[in-house]
Amino acid sequence: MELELGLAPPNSTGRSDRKRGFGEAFEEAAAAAPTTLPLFDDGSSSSSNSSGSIIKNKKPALVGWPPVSSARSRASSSGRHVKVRKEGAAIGRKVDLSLHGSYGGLRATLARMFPADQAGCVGTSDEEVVADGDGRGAAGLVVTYEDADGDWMLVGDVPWEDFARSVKRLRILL
Amino acid sequence: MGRAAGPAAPPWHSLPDEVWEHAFSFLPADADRGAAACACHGWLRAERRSRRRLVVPNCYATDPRDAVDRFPSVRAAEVKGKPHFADFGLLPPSWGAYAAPWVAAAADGWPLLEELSFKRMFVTDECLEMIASSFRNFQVLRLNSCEGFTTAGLAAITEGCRNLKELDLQENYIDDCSSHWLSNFPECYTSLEALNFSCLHGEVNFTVLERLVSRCRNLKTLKLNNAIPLDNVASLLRKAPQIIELGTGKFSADYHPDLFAKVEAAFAGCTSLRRLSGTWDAVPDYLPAFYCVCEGLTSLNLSYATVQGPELIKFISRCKNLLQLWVMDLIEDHGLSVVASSCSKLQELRVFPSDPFGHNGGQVFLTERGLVDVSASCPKLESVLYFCSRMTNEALVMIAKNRPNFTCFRLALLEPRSPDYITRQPLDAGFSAIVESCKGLRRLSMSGLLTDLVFKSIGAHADRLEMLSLAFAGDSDLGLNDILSGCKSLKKLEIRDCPFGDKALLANAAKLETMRSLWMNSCSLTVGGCRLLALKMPHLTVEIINDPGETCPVESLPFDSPVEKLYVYRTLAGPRSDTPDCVQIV
Repeated sequence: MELELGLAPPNSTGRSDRKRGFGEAFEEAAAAAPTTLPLFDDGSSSSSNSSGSIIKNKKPALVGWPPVSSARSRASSSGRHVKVRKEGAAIGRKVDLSLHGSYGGLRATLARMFPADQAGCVGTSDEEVVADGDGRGAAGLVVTYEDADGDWMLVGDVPWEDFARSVKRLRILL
Repeated sequence: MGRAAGPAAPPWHSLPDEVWEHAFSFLPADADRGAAACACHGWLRAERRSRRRLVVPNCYATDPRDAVDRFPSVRAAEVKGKPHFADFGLLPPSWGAYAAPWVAAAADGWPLLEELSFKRMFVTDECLEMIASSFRNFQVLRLNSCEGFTTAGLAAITEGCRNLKELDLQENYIDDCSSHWLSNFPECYTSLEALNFSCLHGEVNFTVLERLVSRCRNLKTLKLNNAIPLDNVASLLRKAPQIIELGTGKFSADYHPDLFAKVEAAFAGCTSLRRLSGTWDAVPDYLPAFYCVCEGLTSLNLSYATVQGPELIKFISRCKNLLQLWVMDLIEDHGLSVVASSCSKLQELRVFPSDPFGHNGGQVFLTERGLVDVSASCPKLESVLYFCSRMTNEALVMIAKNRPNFTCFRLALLEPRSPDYITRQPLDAGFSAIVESCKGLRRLSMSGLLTDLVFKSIGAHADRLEMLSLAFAGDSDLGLNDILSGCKSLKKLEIRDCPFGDKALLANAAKLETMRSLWMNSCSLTVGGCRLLALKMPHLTVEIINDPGETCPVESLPFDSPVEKLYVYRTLAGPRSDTPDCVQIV
């Protein structure tokens, strides 16, 4: 019936292998590494594979996808949860930067999240702790962070606002 | 109505109009009233003169003055403007949907108007001023996803509408002119029943708000914005323990036992609280303050809340009477399995993506499992919106088998064209199972890898389907043809990035007049095809929409020029005259 209408282009006959051909063209690409598809030309291909490596660039701007309202997309970009891993710990945590306004507050939260085993290293300080040369604060933690360029930096060198904007994730060194 | 000759008219023919009007007042559904109006001139007259509520789902389907003329007794009107995909930024900002002509026509012809609702429309301060001054018994103003107005317009409403009961501002874009709109409620004003200003960004005068809440003893709904600190939220609740619906605003603070006790005590007094929402920037420490209201909650909207983890799950598990749950994917599969076992009355579930654009690069463990669990254990579940990263046909088949009572099923797989992640097959089988099993399905959104096969099933089985949303699906015009030639009840069709061309549209042109509207972007349409469609169907408006700044006149383009965005809708009013340059009506 569909053929009588003459709608279909010549190579679409309704056989499933044809359909699969369309899908396969994308399945291979998807199986290798979930990347953006050729139709959406962004000039770069960024991938986020299942081992959890962080994409450096944002996903390319596919307008209106996923279909979330502008109110939601504004809200999601302002939520500032970043991952925190401590060297040697298998399980990471997440910290909400929007609840903190200073390095001191952040260190206090981190010290609470990752209580040190060694005596004398546990403690939260209510005072602002200015980072000294090696980045240790009151809790003796050396905290580093990955910035927007993908470089690992010592926490504390730049003003808090700049840090909060550029930080992608944190890592506590022993 | 007398009969001079012929067979004797039935006795009911000579009943006066007022009797018919009274009879029609028992027909709540507009469709039924419309059907009655078609029976004879007498019923048409009686029905239109007694219509009290009017819904205009497409503001361009009719001239506002014609609508007001036809239904002179309307007390409550709802008008919707832009197509749904405008929510996702696919429409140029200047596209249209102006509320001004509707407000002007209403001011002229409906002086007794009490309620006005606008959705996805451009509403100006002048509109609001006109509303405030034109209707002496104006009671309800609802603005949803609108823009174009400021707090100055709101000030006109709060000052001018002495009988205002409800001011509901939902997801609007409002310019803050620091107008003291809240202070403009007169001191003697006490009739407020519902106030929602959650989308306003600016500060409000808390003392004024507190006094307002104190003196309006009938206040049932209060939805605050993010500028109200937690301490003040608790104070407001002490003043309004009768509240039924609460939006908490930001609701975040560092933990402090005194504040916790205050919040807990405030909620303990709210024994009527049934609906709870808020942005809730991650304060798991405060969740236990809500425990006393959990049992009574029927609706919980945490879809802007970044709270997660065991505290969230503990909280939700206490809400045993939930009918409606909106939540972020931070709840993960484990959380949904708790929902499945705790919320046996659940009717509607929406799960939103916390990181839709991959900014945080994290992995959220929400998969098809969560949806399978909830649909297996919640017998009343009928409406689902689910964003996740992977799906299988097997899961969809199981969901379809468990829940044939779905009326709304919307699945958004984050990556376009995602196949079944285990078998790598398209998701045709899964979605086919959904439409075959859920005979009452009215709304469907599909995503993932889909071929023309699934459209065969939909066209054949989805008899009650009224709204269908497609993205990155199908192989050819056959798919679109199957939809348009089947789907008897289809009203709205919205399509993006599908390889559908002119042929299916032209072959089913008549179908488009039975539908409210069709949206297509990034498909394979041509200027020539659209022109042919417009020629064929004079009662349709065919709009070709370009990006602002691209205003090449359609007449000068060759037949096969691609059309990026198409919006087609039936109308009684002919082509609209308020199009911007980037929109051309062919």
